[in-house]
Amino acid sequence: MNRRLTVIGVLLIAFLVVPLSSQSASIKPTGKLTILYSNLGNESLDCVKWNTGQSEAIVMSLGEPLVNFYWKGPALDFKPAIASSWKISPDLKTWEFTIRKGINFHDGTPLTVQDVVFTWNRVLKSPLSIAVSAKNIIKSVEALNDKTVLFQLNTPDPFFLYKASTYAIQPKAYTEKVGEEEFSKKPIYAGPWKFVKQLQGDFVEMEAFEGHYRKVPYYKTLILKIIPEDSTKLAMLKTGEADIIFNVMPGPLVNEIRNDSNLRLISVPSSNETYLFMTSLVKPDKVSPFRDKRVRQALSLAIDRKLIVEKLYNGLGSPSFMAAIMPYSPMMHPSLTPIRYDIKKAKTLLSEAGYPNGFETELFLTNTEKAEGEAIASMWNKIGVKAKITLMEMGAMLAAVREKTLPDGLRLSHHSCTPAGMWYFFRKGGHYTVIYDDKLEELTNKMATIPEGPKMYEFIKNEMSRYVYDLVPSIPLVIQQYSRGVRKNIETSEWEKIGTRSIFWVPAAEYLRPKK
Amino acid sequence: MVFNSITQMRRMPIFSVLFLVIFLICGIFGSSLAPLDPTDGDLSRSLIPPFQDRNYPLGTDHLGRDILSRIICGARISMIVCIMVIFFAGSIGTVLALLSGYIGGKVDIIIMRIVDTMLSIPYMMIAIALAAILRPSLFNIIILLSILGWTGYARVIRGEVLRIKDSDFVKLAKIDGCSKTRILIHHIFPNIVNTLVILATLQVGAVIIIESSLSFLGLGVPPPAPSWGGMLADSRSYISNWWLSTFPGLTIMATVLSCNLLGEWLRLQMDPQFRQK
Amino acid sequence: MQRYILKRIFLAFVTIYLVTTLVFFLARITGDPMDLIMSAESTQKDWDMMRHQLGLDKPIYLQYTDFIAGVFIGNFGNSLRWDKPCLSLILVHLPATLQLTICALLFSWVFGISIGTLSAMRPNGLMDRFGKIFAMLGQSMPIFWVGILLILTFAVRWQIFPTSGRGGLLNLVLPSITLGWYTMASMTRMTRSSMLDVLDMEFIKMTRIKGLSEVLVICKHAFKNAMIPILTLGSLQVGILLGGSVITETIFSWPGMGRLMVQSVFSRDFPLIQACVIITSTIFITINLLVDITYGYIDPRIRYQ
Repeated sequence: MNRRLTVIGVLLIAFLVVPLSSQSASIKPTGKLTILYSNLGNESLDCVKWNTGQSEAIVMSLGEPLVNFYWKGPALDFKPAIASSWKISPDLKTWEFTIRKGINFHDGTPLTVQDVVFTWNRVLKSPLSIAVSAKNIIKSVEALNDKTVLFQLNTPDPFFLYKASTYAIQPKAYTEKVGEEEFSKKPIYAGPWKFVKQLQGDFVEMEAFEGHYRKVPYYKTLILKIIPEDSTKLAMLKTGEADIIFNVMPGPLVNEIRNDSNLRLISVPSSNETYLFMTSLVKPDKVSPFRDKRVRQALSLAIDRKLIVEKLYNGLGSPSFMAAIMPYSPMMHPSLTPIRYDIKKAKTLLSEAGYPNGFETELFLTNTEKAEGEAIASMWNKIGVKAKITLMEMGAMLAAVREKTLPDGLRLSHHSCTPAGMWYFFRKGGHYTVIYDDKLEELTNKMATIPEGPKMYEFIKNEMSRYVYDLVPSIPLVIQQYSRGVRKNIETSEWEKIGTRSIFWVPAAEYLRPKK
Repeated sequence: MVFNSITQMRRMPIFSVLFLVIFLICGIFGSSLAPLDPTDGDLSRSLIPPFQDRNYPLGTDHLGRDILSRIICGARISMIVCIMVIFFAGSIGTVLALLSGYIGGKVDIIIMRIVDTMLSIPYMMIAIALAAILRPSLFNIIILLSILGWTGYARVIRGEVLRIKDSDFVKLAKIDGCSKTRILIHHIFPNIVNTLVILATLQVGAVIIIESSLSFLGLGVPPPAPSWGGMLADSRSYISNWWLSTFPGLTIMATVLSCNLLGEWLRLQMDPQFRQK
Repeated sequence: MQRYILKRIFLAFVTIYLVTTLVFFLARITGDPMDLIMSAESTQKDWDMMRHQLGLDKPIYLQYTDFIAGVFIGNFGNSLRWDKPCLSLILVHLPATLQLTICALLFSWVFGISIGTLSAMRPNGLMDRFGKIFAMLGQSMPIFWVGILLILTFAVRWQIFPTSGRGGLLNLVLPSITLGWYTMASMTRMTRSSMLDVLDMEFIKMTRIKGLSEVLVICKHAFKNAMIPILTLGSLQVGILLGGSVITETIFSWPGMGRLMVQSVFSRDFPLIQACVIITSTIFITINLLVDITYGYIDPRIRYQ
């Protein structure tokens, strides 16, 4: 009797479920997709414990955050995900997210407000790096009712949506049942891919989650594989052992992929700017040639950005001309023009600043920036500036930057050309600050009182861009394009259309499909 | 122990010696022989193929630097590193081996334990850890390779010392009343010089190969200095631009092969068992 | 004999202990792992909390005693980077390295011994000259270059073998050649010289006089006698290859101990560095010990030295 009832129940449920999932029933995921990465950070499967952009590729494929963002043009484009909509209080301190109904975790249990609150409270307790920028400003996270979550902030933050997008929501019941440690071995989330297995330092295997609300993947299996060596990556792509090299760094691989008729190079614009940071500008009492605006302008003029883009970036980028502000965006004043490569003017400026014969300085690099650094040092030779190259190991560099112990000189680095970036770079005392300048700080603080959008861009364009252009708080170099090496048998039109989570490394593989 | 044709065995590997002489000349006069500046490139002339532009007989690299000049000047770096490493590693190893072998007892036990410990940790592991501790610079690479290299000397030479210690002429010297130091310096040391020379020749190859392996891991001689290993490692992904990696690669190969062939030949020449025949 | 073995075992333990201590301190001078774990914005409180979680807040001598005590019961702690027990990480990666090492050894032995034997049969013949140079080439080229050239030729151009990764037998071919070629030269040299020694002995001359064919002389009589030094060298090579597979594993993305070790040093993962080194060294020392003991059995003079 009991058994029969169960059977009827199951049938009933089946009938109820079928119409719901009918939109996605037409696609049955097939085949295998292998994506190559240089590394995947700490390869954590725990949504709160990932530590670098690369490790986000894993948790964000498995999981779904409150909001998704894509890079499209001047700023990040936020798309509803687990939160179907959100409201901001005028003082930018209270953020209200409405949770979408009908989202299921991989094990079939529905996602509720409690799961969101549970995940975010874990974030607030974590001492790990990525959590820090969020938890330092969040006062509390609580459920208002069964469909709304309220975030209270300590300080106004126009860029909070970005932080809200960094954590995938995990199931409270399951985590509490199995414990955090077990969860990090066999995680369950609500993203388009289910976890299958992992070998640390080698790969993570995932499987399509056919009950996903946003997008059921076309491929059955997704493998994120770690291949540190570029030539090996290329060989695997050429032979078809892999389908995509996720991040093709500017350099030799670009031409190799372009020259192979089976492969395609897909470039996507990004907000990532390569720039030179002058170490003494954040130490107000330090005597340094860089304190003089003319020296900074001269060094900037003596760099042939076009040549660097053409030769070292293989055309995958564009010359940048302002610190942290995207050229040709609504944030740039139309009167500003690209920096012309002009050695004569650079020399004049140097003489005016009191260095007619140039000076000696140091250029701090980590291994990945070697080629650019060498090229720039070589260009500065022509105006008498002798930059000695000092290679540093990543950990040593991070420590020196944090403790501000780098001697007077320059450091090649990357940052993002977004208003959020400006907020970090132009205010004194921050960890990413590039310069101590009273007026710039005042302008930046004023900017941060405006909610992000056209109004803010207007302000940056009219009040800030010309000042930053003239001040040269950091020497702009190149706005990068990200490129992916893809085999031709993969249909990418949908993938390219959604934009890219390009600052980070999420593959968004659910939008890729096999070509017929 | 007689080989069928011992005179033939003694034939000197002429090509190796010739090549090493060229290597030494490049090493000594490097910068004045090089047609162009090895470190200052012209980015607009990057990736010129070899044998096309008269100014760049072997082409240019990704930063527009002349590959021929870089190889010639790279010889100096390789030479400096090899000589210094042989000097440091050789002297530490020899001194410790002499002490260990001749004094014996506790000294021997302690020194040999250190050697065993060093040898049983994978050498790449020590290299990477040391490279992470020391900032990359030419001098630090030399220190690193010396720390890795001395154990080889210590082990081999200690064996030699033990053998010589038991020989009749040392016993006679003792009976004669020679002091320990005198015996060490005047009787034992001259007899291990041959072994030292062989070990040193063979180490040249090892040093060059390990330096390039370190460059592969990003821990080699830092830029812009043109080290061969660094050139090869930096250009390994330029597959269509084959000349970037082929020329430094062939140079490394020829140098190491020459040293090893010469070392092999020296070993046959100087092996005391041979000389007695 | 017993005393000799006991002494050897004791010395092996001393060496393992020294390795353990050395690696503990060596790892700690490479830098603070917190630099890589923490963000620039982290507060002092976060730092203290994380340090405490990782056990890095204890004084160094306590860390050391804890560590030594752990090693005794086979507990190497949790990896800082992967947040998993080191031992389980190693147990997953060790088989891959052992497999690669054994295949590389086989390659090096098969070629080394055949080239060496053929060279000894006709010293200064064609085989002696070119075989020797072929064997030496492996030592003269940086391993990563050999690896890349092999991949480009055999995997990309001719598509005979897969480019990389661990899988079927075919996957093993290229990495084994790359790794094994490096040790081939010494194997060739050793075989050649010990074969020459043996061929010069009276009893071989006797078999020749008896009119046995050259092949039979070499294969049956000479080879058996030349085998001991060859085997000794071979067993020592296991250790060299075990530790030397770092670069081969990186090029061929072979999921073994070598890569694990490099990654652990670069991420300053103290517990994992320690565990990797201790386990590889222990394998190496054990093999050495076994060789020493076997030697003791074969050659009684050694025992009394």
